[in-house]
Amino acid sequence: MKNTKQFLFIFLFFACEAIGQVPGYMGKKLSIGYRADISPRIMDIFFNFGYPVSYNGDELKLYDISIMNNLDIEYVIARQVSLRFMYGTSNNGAFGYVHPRDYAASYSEPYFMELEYPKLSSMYDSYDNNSSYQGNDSKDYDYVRTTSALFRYGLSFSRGFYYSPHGKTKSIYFLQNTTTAEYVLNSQASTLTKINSYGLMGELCTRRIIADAVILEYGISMGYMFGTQFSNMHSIDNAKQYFTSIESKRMLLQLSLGVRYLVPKLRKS
Amino acid sequence: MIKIYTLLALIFYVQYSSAQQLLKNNYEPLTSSGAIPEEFINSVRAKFERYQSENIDNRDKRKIKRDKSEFLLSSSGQLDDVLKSGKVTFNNEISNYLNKIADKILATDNTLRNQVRIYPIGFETSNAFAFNEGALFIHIGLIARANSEAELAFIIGHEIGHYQKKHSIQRHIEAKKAERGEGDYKLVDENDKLKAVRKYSRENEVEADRYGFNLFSNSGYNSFAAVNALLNLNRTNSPPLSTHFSISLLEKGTYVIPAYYYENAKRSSSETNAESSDEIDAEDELATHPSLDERVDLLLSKLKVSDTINKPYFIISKSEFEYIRELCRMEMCRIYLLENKIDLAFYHINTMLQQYPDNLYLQRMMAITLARISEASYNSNLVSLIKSENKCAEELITSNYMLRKMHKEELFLLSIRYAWWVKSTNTSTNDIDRILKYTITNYTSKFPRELKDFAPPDSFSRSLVNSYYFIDTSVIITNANSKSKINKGRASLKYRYWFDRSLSRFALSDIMNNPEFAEFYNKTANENPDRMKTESEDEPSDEKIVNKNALITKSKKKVDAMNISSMIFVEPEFYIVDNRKNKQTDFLVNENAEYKLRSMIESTADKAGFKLTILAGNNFDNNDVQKFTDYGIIKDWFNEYFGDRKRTAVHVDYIKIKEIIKRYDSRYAALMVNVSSISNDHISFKLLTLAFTIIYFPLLPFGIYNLLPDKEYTMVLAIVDLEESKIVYGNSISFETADSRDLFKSQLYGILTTLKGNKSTRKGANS
Repeated sequence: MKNTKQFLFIFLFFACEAIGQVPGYMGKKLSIGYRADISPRIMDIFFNFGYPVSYNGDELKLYDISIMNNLDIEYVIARQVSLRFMYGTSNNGAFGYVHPRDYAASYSEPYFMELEYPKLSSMYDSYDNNSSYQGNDSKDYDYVRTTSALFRYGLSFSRGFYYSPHGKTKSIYFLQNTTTAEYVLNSQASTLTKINSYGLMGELCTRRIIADAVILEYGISMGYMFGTQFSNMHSIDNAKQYFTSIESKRMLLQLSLGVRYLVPKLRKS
Repeated sequence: MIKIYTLLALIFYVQYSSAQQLLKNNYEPLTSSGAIPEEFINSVRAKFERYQSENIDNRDKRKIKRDKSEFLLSSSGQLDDVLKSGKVTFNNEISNYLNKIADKILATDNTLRNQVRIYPIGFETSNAFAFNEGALFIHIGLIARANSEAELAFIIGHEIGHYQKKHSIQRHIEAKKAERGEGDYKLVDENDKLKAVRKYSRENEVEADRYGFNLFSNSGYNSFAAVNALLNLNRTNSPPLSTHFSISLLEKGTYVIPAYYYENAKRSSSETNAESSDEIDAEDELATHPSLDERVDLLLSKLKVSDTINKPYFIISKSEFEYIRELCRMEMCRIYLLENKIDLAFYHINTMLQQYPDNLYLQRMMAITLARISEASYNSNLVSLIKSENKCAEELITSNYMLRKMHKEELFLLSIRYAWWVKSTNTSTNDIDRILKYTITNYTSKFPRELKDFAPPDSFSRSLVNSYYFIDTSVIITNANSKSKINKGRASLKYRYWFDRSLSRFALSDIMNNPEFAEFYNKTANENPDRMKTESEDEPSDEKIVNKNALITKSKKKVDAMNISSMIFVEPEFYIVDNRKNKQTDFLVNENAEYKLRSMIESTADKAGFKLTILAGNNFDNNDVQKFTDYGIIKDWFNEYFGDRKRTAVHVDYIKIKEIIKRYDSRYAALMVNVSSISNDHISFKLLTLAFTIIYFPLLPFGIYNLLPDKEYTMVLAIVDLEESKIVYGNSISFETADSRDLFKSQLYGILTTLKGNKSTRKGANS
């Protein structure tokens, strides 16, 4: 799979370069910068099917957002086509009913009781046996934290008469995501699992260029991770599916803001 | 002593005559010379600020000040447009002559004389106009139709009257008053307001007539000329000369035009060409000018016998007037062609050629006109270009009748025949080769003829030619165009049959054996990829007929390997239109945008490695008269090429264009127009959307965004090959966004890269 991707990337690069003259923006084709993908957490709430979702110890609110920070590289390969590469990470926060007090008050079943994951089980057990609730909130606190590392390989097509990398574009990305779930107890994290998933994303965005050097970009995107089953986090059976679906939920709607520097073209001496 | 005087006189004569053009042999089109006057090169803002200080009095009421300011801005912008139109020339024989007349009639008023500037402007109609700022423009057509210096003096006096009495600004203030319903316009309906404003305008004209009449009659001219000058305005649609059209001028060698084509030429109904006179004579309450009769009556009432007897029609010199008028008549040939008035050009050049049969310029103009005529017949729009005998001016009846009657092939051969005659009788024929080549290419694309087809019969005479005309050619052409195979076969036979019995049969008989001509014809015909074959398909197919002429059609195909790296950019324009305000064009805003645009074009071209010369009115300094002239010629080229969508590959000023190509080391010229508009349409729908989004608040940002005004930015760019007369790139690109520097630069850089690139691109000339 990895080889196929590399091959595809290299093929596209050379194939497109050969199409014709590539103006770029005033001759500049390469741009590197930062991009933030902002997703409303409303999708987590909606897809938790009525159960409250905790997030870093608090219940997730409608207006909460999650931000993925990306390194963004774009290279113009044809008049209206550019190659995109993005690497982004995000801390998805903590999930689950984290506070035994809340948990005990609301639900009869222990959370993560019958775990497939030995570590989680042992940690939970240790918590259960040794650290019964004594009123110290800062310590008596467990949760599952997930982080995502997302690679995006894509092509951006300028719309209408725009020349890449300026103006309005449509983009399509191939997504390769690794979500890491960690169980955290008393600030000690332990990796539960790493889940790899793949997906596709489409995007509409607009770019403006300031002072012939800085690209400002804003857009909206939607994506889907293959094999996603949306589920709540209420039972351990759903945990893995839930971890998998975290990125999908994020991909369902994203607003992007980016700023990139247009690398000056090398002048032939 | 006598010898010395004689010698001095001789020297003076030689110097004077050498300063004048020898019209017998050639004519150099009108150009400007010397330093460019300040008003041609300064900005609209500079003009506006100057005229504001001159015209606005601090004691004026606030409303009046505002009205005046609005008028002055508009007037400065319009004056700037006229001065930079490329049609106005200065410091040449004609403008100097007009200014000499002004010197005479304003001899006693130096202050006024210093304020008035007079320029000839290249329009063919009989007219003149004045700006509030003292710039007077006299149409070349008016001078070409004038009968005396005194007539011109009256016209100049009339225009000075408009300037002196500040008619245009007063008219604007009056119109504004009417718009606001102030003073006499209270409780008056819109129609009556308009009538009142027009009445005011007519009164202005009468006042200017009186002023002009007094001015010029006091300066010693024969006052009766004023009446003639007004009557002359009625001839605006007629050619300057009323000489009989000469058929024999077109008949060269064995080429004879049968009487069938012209002897029955007359108006077929009682209709006359009364459109214009009706327009002027009508006592219309909405007319801006009084009727001609009224104006003539007024002048006649002021005429004194003493002012008409023993008073001269010429004070400067009759010979100089006649010379200047001849120059204008020469210039009219160009102007008619530039304005695509083929029938008037055909007639006028014919009449001029009767006077100057050896004038190469006129011969060239006639060759160009005939090429244009055949080109128009090729593109099937000849009929729309040539008015019918019932509608054209009286003088044009014969020539128009002939052109409408002649078959397409005959027109082609007439053109080829004439161009070859010009080529063979002159050593310096410059663009004739090109015209000839172009016409032969078109001819051989349409008609399957070999040179041997033109072999002369044993006996040839005019009566023989006349006897050949017994077939209604229109019937044959209809059949030839038919899609039916059987009809095509029959038509083919008829076509051949008809050719053998037509005038075309003899068109090239005397020169077909001329080795030079044969070589030229065969070479051009063989190089023509669209050439009609003679053996298998000896008739024009439908496709060939629909197909436009070869040179132009090629330009519309995919653009391949252009390798353009230098270009002349002619005055890139920028219009900012704010449809939300019901207000006139803001010249200052547009001008600022144009300045920025030019600097952006320069920097972008520099980045793209493009050598660019921007020829724009505000870019010149006083010594750039050559650039100013070139700018005018290229603008004329564009107007001619794009005017009325009747593109031609045979340009009037091709010789000058060749010089420009050499001077700027580029054969490509670009014309760019940018329009940025902002509007607030469908506001009720937008408010309704906002109301919905308020109810469903998560979409509120969309509702607010939707309230923003609609913006649109359009960039039109045409790049033409001046040498080949074809569009190499033509595109109109539109964005639903506001214009921005980055957008413009990105677009222009992309286009320049396309033009520069070696590889083919799909973005082609699809204008």
